[in-house]
Amino acid sequence: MLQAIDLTKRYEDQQLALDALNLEIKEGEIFFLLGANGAGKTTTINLFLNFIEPTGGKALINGIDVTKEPLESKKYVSYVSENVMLYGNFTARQNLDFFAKLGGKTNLTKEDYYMRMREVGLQEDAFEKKLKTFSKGMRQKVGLTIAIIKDAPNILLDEPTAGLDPKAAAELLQILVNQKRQGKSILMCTHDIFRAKNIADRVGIMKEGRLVMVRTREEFMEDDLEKIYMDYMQEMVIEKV
Amino acid sequence: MLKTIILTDIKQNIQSLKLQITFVIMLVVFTVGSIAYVFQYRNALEDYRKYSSKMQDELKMKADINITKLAVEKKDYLFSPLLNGFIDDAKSQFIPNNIKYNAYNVYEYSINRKTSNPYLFLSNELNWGFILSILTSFAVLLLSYNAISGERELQTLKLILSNSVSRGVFLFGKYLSIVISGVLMVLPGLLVSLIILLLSGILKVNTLLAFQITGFMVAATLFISAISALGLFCSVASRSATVSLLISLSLWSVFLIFSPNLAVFAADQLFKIKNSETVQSEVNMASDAINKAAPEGSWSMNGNDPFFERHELRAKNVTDLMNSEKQIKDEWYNNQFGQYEKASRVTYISPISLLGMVSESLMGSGYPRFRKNWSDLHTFQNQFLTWFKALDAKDPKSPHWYNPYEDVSTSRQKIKFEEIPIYTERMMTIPQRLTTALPGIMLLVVYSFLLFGITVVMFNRYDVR
Amino acid sequence: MKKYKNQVMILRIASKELFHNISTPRFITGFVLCLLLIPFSIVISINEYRSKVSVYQTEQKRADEENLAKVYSAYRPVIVKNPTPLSIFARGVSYNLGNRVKILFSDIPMMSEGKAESRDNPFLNRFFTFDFVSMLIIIISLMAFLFTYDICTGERETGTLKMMLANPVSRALVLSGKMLGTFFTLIPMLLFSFGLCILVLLFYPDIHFTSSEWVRIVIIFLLSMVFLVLFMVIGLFVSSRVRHSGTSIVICLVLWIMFLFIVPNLANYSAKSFVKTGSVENLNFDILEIEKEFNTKVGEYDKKLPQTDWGMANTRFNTDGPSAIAGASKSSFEKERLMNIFSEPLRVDYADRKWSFRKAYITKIERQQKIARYLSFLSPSEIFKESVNGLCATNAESHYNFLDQIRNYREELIRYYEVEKLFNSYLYFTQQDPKSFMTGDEIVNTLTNGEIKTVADLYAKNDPWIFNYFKKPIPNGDMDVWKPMDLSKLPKFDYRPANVLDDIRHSLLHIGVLITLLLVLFYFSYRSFIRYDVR
Repeated sequence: MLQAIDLTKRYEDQQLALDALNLEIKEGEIFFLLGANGAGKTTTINLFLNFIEPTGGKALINGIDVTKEPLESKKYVSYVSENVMLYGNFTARQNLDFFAKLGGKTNLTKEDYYMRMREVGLQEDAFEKKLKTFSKGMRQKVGLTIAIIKDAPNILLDEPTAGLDPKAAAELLQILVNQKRQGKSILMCTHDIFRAKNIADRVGIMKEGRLVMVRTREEFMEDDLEKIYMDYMQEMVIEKV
Repeated sequence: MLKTIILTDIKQNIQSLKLQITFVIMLVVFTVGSIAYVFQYRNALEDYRKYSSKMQDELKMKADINITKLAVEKKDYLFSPLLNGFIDDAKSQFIPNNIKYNAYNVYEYSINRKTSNPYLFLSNELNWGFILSILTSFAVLLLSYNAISGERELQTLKLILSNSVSRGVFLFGKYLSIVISGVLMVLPGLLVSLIILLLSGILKVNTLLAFQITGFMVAATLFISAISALGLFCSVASRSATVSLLISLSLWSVFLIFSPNLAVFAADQLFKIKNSETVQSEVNMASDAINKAAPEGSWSMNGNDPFFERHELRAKNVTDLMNSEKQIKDEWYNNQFGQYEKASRVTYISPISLLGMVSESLMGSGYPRFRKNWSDLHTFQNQFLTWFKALDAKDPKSPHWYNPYEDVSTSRQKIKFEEIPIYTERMMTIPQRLTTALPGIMLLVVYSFLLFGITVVMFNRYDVR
Repeated sequence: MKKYKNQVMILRIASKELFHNISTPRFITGFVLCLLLIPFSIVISINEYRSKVSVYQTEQKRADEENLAKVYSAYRPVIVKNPTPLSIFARGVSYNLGNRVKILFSDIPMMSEGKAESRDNPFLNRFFTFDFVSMLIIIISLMAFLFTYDICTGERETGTLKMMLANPVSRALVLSGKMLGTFFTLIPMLLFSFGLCILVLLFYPDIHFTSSEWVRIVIIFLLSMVFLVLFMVIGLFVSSRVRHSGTSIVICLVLWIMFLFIVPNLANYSAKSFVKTGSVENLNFDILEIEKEFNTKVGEYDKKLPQTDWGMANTRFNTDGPSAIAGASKSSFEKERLMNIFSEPLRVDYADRKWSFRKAYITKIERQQKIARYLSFLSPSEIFKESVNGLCATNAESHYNFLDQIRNYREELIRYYEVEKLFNSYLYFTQQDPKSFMTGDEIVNTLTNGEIKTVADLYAKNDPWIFNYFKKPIPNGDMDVWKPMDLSKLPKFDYRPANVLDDIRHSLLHIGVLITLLLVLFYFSYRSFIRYDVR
């Protein structure tokens, strides 16, 4: 379970990046966090991972306060960063091996790695190729594999489908659904309204550091999610041509 | 189009951290170096003047004795410190700067270490040549190593070449911008240095100085363009900026460190010549042979009577000894000159050595200065001998049996100090300096052209994605 | 259990770092540079050493001949210091200095003499060559920087730092692991450098090291490891304070140029320019004045002594004392002996007076050297080089030490002469048995084979060419039959170079500074990394 209680981040120049975020993501739930660039999505993830300290409130992973017990909390979370680059001179398996061990999974065999990589849809011949030869989609998949193989109860993803072709994006999201069915809590920051409709259990919209709206699946299936989103962005609604 | 590329790049360079930091450091070193030079030059000049005046006094005393003593006594000519040492000193204090001679022969050269501190490590002077060779070359390489590979990594190379600008023109624009940035980096430092030196009052503003300063600036620009070509070459030699950096750092280290080591190694192993012990024993053997063959009575001496007939034998014997030693030693000296020249040619693969060679010639110091003094002293020695013999011929009290080492059988008349011919060094003239510097200048130009040409060829096949 | 886990984690991160570094082109570059630069420098250093050895052998031979004195006034031992093969590793100032010192009574040795150039062709001095330790410094510090400049910034830029820290590993652990891995990447290069050096030395079987010299080489290797780690930490510090690799590399390279090329030259040049020493020429003129005074005093005393009856004798000139005399008249011998009782102690006194001038000069020289050295300590590479020079006994201090021992020996020798009253003895200037001393008349008689009986008779002839009357050589005047003295009872010079422990103690300050700098920078890097913005 992921919890944010009045989570606030104000920078030294008085810029309010996150304003009293209250959020709870239960087991087996996929939560999409939408918002414009700079709205505070990445800041939220950074606060959960204790990369920055909150100026108010707290963030809890499986009930553990990330500021008070950072190392303990990290046992229970997996992370897929935006723009996965990894170690270019290592193969996919070598990268996987390193991060798996770092995450505490020390007894995995080569076959285990291959199996996981197949699950995410990587081609066999890519397993032992150096990462610098991979396309963006393939790299994102390796990043996802790393998160899955850790088998932590919570998964944080930052713009995982950015720059992916529809097929690759669909594959990635399918994997997330599988994880959700295993009872994992998933927080995904994205711009991708389209896919939100497909797999999200709940959708939240952030604007200028505040979570201005949360809708459940039933609720936004009825309304036009795009319209709601655009309204809150106070943009022009794109007329249907 | 070209102008845009050049101006944008120069602006970018000026704003980059690397140019700013290296600019500041160069400025500091120029300043400290010039101030230190003022002190050092004043000290050196004072020491040299004291030494010269004491030598003059001794000469005066000798003149009071007789002209033969004047002719046979071995004198030292010590090179004076040059004012242009602030530009480049060509390691003058490490190579021979003292020549021993008398009226009959120019004997040997040596390094006069009297004013140097043997407990200090060999180090470079902080003159313009040093700053250019080490600092500026490094800074220019730093500026240029990612000119192409860096742009490729930033994805901007694709963007630029998606316009209608040819690769060659673009590359040339990059090249010019690096050269101009390099020159802009150095110019303020040079000016500050000049101002400090002018204010200190040690500079004599004349045509020669103007020539030397301008000449050095031209050489410096050529040097910067050679290094820029080198950096640009490293930049297209790889797709990754890191690899370009590695290549350029390696090349720089090789030029700075490898080439002097290579030169000495080549001199020791490839251009072998006799060593001093061998030569000395050859001289000794030849002397022994001459002494053995000398007729009876060649060693008799009567201090009071120049006309003692055995003095003629003695004079002949001593002259033979001198000539045999001179022949052996002169050959060895020429071998040393040759060995050094060949070894320095080995270093011409390095543009840093080329700059050193050009500045040395323009300053008229270092090895060219030595060679000029060596040959000028030979000329002077002949003139001195002629003068002495003329005076001796007029003296009825002299048997005219010329003995190059001893005051036994030639004129003992006294002479007025003012009438003694004194050797004054004539510096290389401007045309002479230009001629000596020409090969180095040409090589620098060839270097730039060649490297840039290769770079153009490589860039035309460069993968810009 | 937790500690074990942490250790394992550190090793994991370290081995990742190691394998990743090996796959980069930086790794190969290091070895290529070693291969290109080190063998040449060793060969050149070996040649310099060999020529120094051959000079030493020639000079030792000459010294052995010179030291065979026939009279005590001629015994002025020449001491030649043999070059140490460790100078192949670190040249220091050993090749600027001559290795020969002559013990004089009339002067205290100020500096050594002898051939001070190791290159036979003095024009080759134009090329500043680099010895092994300089080469090592250049390659190791550059490689250390090239691997650590992006130790923080690189992983930040690729996002892998975030990924690592999303796991239960502390930042301290990550830092330790990365530094350890980088260290294991760079150690092979250090070993390769030393290995190359030893390999080249194997081709020259005439050069061998004693066991204590091997100990020093090992210590130098250990010191180089400290040097390596120091530069790694400097790179780490820069990387931890900036956000971009581009900035980090520029700062590191600028530091590299400053430490290795600017500071040493700046230090030396500033010391030479701002600290005046005056020239040896002027010192020599001052010394000459004192010598003139001594000669005047001796001349005056000579006039006070009684005249001799017969002045002719065979003499052999000594540079530093009265000539050896043979075949003189009894009164001449006696006069000479009385002269020596006055002149020799005076000579030693005047040596002390000259020394006050010399000491002033040498103090200025030493001061200039010390200031140059202290200024150069702004660069850690110079600190390292100085400690290696100390271990190889090629720095200025070891030469000062040698000269001090020489001066003490001189005192010892003079005291021996004074205690044994050698100045008062005939043996000081002749081997002729005093029983064989003849009066002037006796000598003239012998010389002319009885034709002329007295000196007065001889002079009465008023012939400037009195040699024409001599039928025999000067009695007892042949010095060639004299054998060299038995010098076994005289104090001998025993050079005691500092042993390893002493040298380490002297270098302790330098080593301490390096290690302190290392720890301080590491601490600050650690603190920066703890707060490092990984985004």
